[in-house]
Amino acid sequence: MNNFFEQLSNKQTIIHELDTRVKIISVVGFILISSSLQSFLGLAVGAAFLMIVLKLVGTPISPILRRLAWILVFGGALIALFPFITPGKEILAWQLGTLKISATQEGVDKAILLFLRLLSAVLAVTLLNATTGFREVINGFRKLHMPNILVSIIEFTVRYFFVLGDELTRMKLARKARGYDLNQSIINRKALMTITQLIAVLFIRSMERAERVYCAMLARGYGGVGSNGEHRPVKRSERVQMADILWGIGFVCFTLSIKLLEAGGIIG
Amino acid sequence: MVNCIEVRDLFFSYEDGTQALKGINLDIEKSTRVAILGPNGAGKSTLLLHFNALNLPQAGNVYVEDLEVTKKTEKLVRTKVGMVFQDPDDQIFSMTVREDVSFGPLNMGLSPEEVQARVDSALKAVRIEDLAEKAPYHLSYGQKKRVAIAGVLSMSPDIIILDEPFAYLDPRGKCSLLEILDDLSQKGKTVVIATHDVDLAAEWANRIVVIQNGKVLAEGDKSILIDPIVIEQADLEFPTVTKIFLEFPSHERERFPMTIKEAITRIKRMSNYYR
Repeated sequence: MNNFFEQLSNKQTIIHELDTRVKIISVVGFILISSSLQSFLGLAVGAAFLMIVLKLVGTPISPILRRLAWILVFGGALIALFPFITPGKEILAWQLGTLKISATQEGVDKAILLFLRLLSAVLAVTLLNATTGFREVINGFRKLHMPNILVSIIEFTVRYFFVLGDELTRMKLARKARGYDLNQSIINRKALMTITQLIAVLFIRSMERAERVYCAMLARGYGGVGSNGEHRPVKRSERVQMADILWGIGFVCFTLSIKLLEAGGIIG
Repeated sequence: MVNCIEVRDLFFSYEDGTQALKGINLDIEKSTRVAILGPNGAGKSTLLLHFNALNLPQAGNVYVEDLEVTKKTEKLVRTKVGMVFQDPDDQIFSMTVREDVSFGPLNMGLSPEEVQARVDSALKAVRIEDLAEKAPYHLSYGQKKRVAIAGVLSMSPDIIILDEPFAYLDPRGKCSLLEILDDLSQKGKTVVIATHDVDLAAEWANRIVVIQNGKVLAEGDKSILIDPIVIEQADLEFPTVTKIFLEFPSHERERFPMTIKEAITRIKRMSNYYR
């Protein structure tokens, strides 16, 4: 994982010390329950709760928010679409010739709901990352008997994400060295061509690298997932402590109680 | 001397039709330091991949310690021959150095204690004990290279193959890698490197194989490196030291020096002669 989370996960608080399995399960539980919430208020309270916990374990909030902005770029595209594709009461309408574009109140509500759900899910995962080293998370997945192939995929993705990132940086630099202007509008046909080619080359390179990585694994006697599957022994001696479980339950109960309040019609 | 690798009439073509190897014949003696030289695209890497059974012979045979390299024997061959790839990022993929170095021994099905012992001694051999718990992607290129070598040493192969081991290394990195390779050959391991660095081959190897266009052009001791015909045909160059002495017509019957040590001895002798 990158340095930011690595440094955070080296701190020592009660949450850092919790058993990784408990943390994984409770974070997943939190996400599952909170994404079934229907009310803005409930979701907002959930997100605020996560922010407070993040703050309590010593996470600086502003870098977290900056990171969130990146993720929301992806979610944002979807959210921007919702008001226009959900049927309901029109609040905005444009007439473009024969084409009529309209936004609906229901759509806007749905978009806000989606945004809040995304926010709390990302915050929950951030909490896991900020309090647990990446390697610990991976080991946690293994201990939870998650299929080895899935764990390996996560591991490789993170490992080679940085290698690919470096490659992309070098390619960009080399393009710039030959006079390419990085800030050109992508509407320019030539610029668009350059970008598509860059992406294509990156894909091909990744594929070739994957082949070389696989070769290097074979060279060290790898026989494929399943045959000698888990190449890291997992100690069975580490048992989950009661205190860990209680913390986990407490965490999930917070969102569960919001859910119950919502179901009882008290909020929402 | 006993041969540990024998190659007989080896042919290999890639799927796109490129004929990479066109009838290679080669013997590598046990406990030697072999440099396989040749220009880019001569077939060096393709040949090396056969020693590790990552490429299987399409025609001809490869024997590793009297074991024929086939689909059936590939796993056994890989425990006898360790292969260090050119780009350490291709080889190192685990979250910590220790995990990565234990990858091979765990694949060999060794006990946890044995794996631990092997990892420790491999890390010691490349002098990176202090990096054991570090994440490989935060290391420098030279350090990654050493992790890659440790990852192979931990399988204790008798034969170690390195593809362009000195590429991109800084002078200090080169120096310590040479020391590591010296240690290995002192322990009786056979070390084979592919390179196009003639200076390095001259300083380090005691056996030279020159490959050109998928065939063995010349094979023998270091004197091959100052054979003008071989050098020209293989698109290589004389070692730097030799280039200097070429300017001084030899009044002695001795061959031209090619290592720095030889050059120093020769210069000392020449200065005595003129005094």
